[in-house]
Amino acid sequence: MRTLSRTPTRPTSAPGTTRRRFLGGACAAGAGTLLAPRLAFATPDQPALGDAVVTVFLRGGCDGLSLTPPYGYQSYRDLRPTIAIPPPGEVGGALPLTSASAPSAQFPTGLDGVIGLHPAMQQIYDAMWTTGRMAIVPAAGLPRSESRTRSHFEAERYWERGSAAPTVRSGWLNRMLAVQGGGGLVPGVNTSSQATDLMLGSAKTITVPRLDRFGISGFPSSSRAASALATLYPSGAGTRVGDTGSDVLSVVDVLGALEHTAPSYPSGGFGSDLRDIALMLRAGIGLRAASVDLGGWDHHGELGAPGDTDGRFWNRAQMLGDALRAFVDDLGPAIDEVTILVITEFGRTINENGSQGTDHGRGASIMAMGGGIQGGVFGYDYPDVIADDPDEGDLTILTDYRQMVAEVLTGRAGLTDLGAVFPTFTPGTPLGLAP
Amino acid sequence: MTEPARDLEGPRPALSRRSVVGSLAIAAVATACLGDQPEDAGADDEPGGYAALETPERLALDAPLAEDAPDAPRNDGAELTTTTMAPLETTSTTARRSSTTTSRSATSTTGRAATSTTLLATTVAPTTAAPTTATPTTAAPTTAAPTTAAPKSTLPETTAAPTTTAAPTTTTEPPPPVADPGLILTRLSFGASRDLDAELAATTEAQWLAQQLTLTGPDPAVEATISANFAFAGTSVTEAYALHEATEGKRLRRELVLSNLLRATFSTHQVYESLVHLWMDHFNVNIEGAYKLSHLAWNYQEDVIRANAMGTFHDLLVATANSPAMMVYLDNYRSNANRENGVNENYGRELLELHTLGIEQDGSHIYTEADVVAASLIMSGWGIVNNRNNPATHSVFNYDDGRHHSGTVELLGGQFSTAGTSGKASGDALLAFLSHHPQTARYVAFKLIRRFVTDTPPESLIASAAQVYLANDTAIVPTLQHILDSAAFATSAGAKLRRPFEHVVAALRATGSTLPVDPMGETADDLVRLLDDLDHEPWQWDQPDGFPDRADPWLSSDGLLTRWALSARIARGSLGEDDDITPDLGRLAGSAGTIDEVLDHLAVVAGLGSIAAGEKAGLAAALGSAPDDLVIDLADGRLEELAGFVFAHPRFQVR
Repeated sequence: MRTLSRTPTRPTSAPGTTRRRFLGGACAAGAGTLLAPRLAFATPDQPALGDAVVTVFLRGGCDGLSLTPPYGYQSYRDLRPTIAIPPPGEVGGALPLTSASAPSAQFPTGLDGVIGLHPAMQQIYDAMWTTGRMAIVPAAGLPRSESRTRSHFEAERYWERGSAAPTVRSGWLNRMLAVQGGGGLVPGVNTSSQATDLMLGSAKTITVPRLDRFGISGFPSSSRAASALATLYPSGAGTRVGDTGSDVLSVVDVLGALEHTAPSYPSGGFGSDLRDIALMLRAGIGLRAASVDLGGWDHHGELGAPGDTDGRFWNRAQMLGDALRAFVDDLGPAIDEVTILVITEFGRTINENGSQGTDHGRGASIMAMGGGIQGGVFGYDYPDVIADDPDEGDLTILTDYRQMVAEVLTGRAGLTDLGAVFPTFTPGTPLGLAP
Repeated sequence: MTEPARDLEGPRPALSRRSVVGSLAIAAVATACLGDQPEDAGADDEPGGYAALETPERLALDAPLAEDAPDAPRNDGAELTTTTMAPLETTSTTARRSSTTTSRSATSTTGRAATSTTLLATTVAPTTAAPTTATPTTAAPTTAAPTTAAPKSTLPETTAAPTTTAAPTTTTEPPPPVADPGLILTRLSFGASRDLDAELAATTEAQWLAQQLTLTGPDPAVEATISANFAFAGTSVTEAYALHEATEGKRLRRELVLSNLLRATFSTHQVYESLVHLWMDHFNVNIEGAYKLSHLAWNYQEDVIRANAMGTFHDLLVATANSPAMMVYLDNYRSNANRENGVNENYGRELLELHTLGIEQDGSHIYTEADVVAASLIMSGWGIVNNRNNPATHSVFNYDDGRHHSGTVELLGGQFSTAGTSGKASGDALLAFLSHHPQTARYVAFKLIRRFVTDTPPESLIASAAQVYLANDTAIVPTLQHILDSAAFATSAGAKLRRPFEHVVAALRATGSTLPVDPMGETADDLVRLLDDLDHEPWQWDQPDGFPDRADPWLSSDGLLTRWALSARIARGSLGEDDDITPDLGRLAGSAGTIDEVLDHLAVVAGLGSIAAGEKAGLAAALGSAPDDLVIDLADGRLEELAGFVFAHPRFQVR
């Protein structure tokens, strides 16, 4: 069995952060162990095993060189004459990812000040980076030994399944739930309108694109309809349609009764998705994993000039950062029991194309944030010059994205059998982002 | 309670009138002047013919029954105008809220449906389809040999020839397996309907299918309705631009949605319409929000996809590549090979990945990243006029040699080369090469099988259908015919989930509902929002792979809740404004008297065949009734409520 080895001690440079502070602080003594009762999200019969994992998938291939621009590289600016993000301090300049901006952050491989964060991400930067709770992994992806694809659809499936092996058909987030077993009423939620591969598998997951509309409706009498539907969708029918229906019927009353207290989120689907997740996390329904999509990153053209707040990338990045900030604020101290992962299917070409956009590339920028996350910039290496990978072209993938995910799942979410979740992945030296 | 429809029906003018018109051209001419009703424009004619279909503000299923709506006005010779037609009471809507169970106006049951107990079973029972080994052998190995020679370097269109000499592979030695009763209809149509019932009263499923495969264009009756009521109908790209501007963008989206709903619901050319949806997904376009370019969607739908839905795949591919919509959607109009880093790879990539060679299984594609670049270079220059200062021609397709890469480019390790061609002809040659490539043949076969047979196409059928495709010069119909003759199809009942659009249409058809034909009416707007909420609004899938044609993404918790709600709303007629979308209660009621009988009848109307006794008891109990309680008063709403339950049945979710 493969398990991720991880260092038992906290990195020295991290000051005593408040990461294990539970609601009300009553359980501070048990904060360092996964066996401590979890007040925020546990159910009476199902104590939480660790952090709830909220995975944000940036669909379309988010341009890592814009999300986390290597602003100090002349090669970067040469490759992108009209769309390169300038250094901090200039108009439209990057937000610095430096030890000065986040005293507790770590830069284990000399990445202090090498890259920045897109300026439209100011809100989440303020909340999570400067407090040392945001880990960024540039040049990440699925290594070429498993796949070289630049197809959206293949790459998304591989990222969601955690493998390019054709035998792996379920999603790694679902497998985490399945491996851990048990589970409350709603162990997994997917807020996109369609079921995603990430959540596909044997563990029970519910698709809830709009919580406020989740319920039996349209019939003259909902109670009569519920009775009729229970006849048509008995539990244990053993058919895919039947089982999906009986799963819905088992949760529809509980989920339908949840009501928002209306904290402020940015308008739009992504904000309301996160708002729904926060509500369900607090509802005591055993939610341990959630999948959220934010689309619109396939910027083959008109990505946007630096500082253009109407630019296409700016628009997306601001939506991402603002909504995540609202989510963090909404959770309050409970962010200590949540880890947010932000992933995408690939990075993009290092050069801009003739349309002020970029085409499909390789290495992407991904991140993890949460009360238990060690802030910093992580990764096994970073190039001295932004240049085409000699073999594949574009940004070389230096860190397997599963390394970040694996450290979060084992370090934060209580996973012990990593091999069951990532069957084709061999962990490397720990990055140390989820100690 | 389930008399064969023919007992009541008398002559079946609808069937004879609509379904066997040998020439669509003739039919189109005929419909141009309303009232031209061949054969049976007799004294007892009814509103179900062309006239009724084309002129009412609400469009009802074509009613074959003379006694259905005796008061309905005749519209012989009526002038087609837009949105001003008087509403026409359709068939048995007079039964609505009337206290009767005797209004058997649309007793649509047929002998076929009554026996189709295995229809839509979720688990496939091995049935009578005996010769399971037949399929692989139908692809005569001899046809394989010549086709492998097809993809040779630059091939002008004529090099598609090597395969055409092969006989269309109808040389099946064993007879085709017999499909489960009802399977052909549920899989190849948008669901049971009054039209379909009427057609089936006079023919077998197999005969129906054979005829459908000859109907390679749209149903002229529905098209006449659309021409009469839709402002975008018949517009050129530049006319559409002006119209789109003048209507502030609102009209286009409604016409796109409503045209698709009307056609799927009312067209008697159901296989054609099903194929249209396959190609809409295969060659997906979404230019909503593209600056001053979203008007291109209409032209794309009508003149690119629909015009080529049952021709050859090659022609379809060429039409998409020459369409401004595709060139805009996949950014090819931005590409400029003669500027540093000026090539945009978006179209070149999807041309290989999604349109032709494909990825039928992850990781299995035969092309490389270098081939993506090569295709992008070859197609550079294909775009639009792109002069925003001149709206009249701005969005017209245009080939710009100044943006085209002029050097020699090779693909697939030299299988294709632009040597000997130049300019746009290089792209033409590439499209001919790709459309005739054996891997494209496999991919098109894969997509057809996935649409019409199973989410997981079997290798043997992919391989044999690919041979038929190549042997017939990429013709779609023979390839589909081969697939439908297979044992895999015959035993595939219940294997496909209805997608949301298909569920809505199936319920509309089962209820015999009316639909409005005025795109600017309130209900049209409701329908746009409805399909948007379902995430299945035509042309609104933003990724180039098209709406998923697999159960996995659609079979979700919320997806089922939404389907259930829609089932109820369509059964109750509460989908649109006022009575715009009204179910035919007479059709739903049949001659049934008890709840048990109502459910038996609804099962047939909905194409389910039957409902288990235990389920019937449970549904009756949900209403606080017993199965043998009489449904005396239709006005009490129990009929609609029961119909909603039936449309929410697990087996109504599959096709």
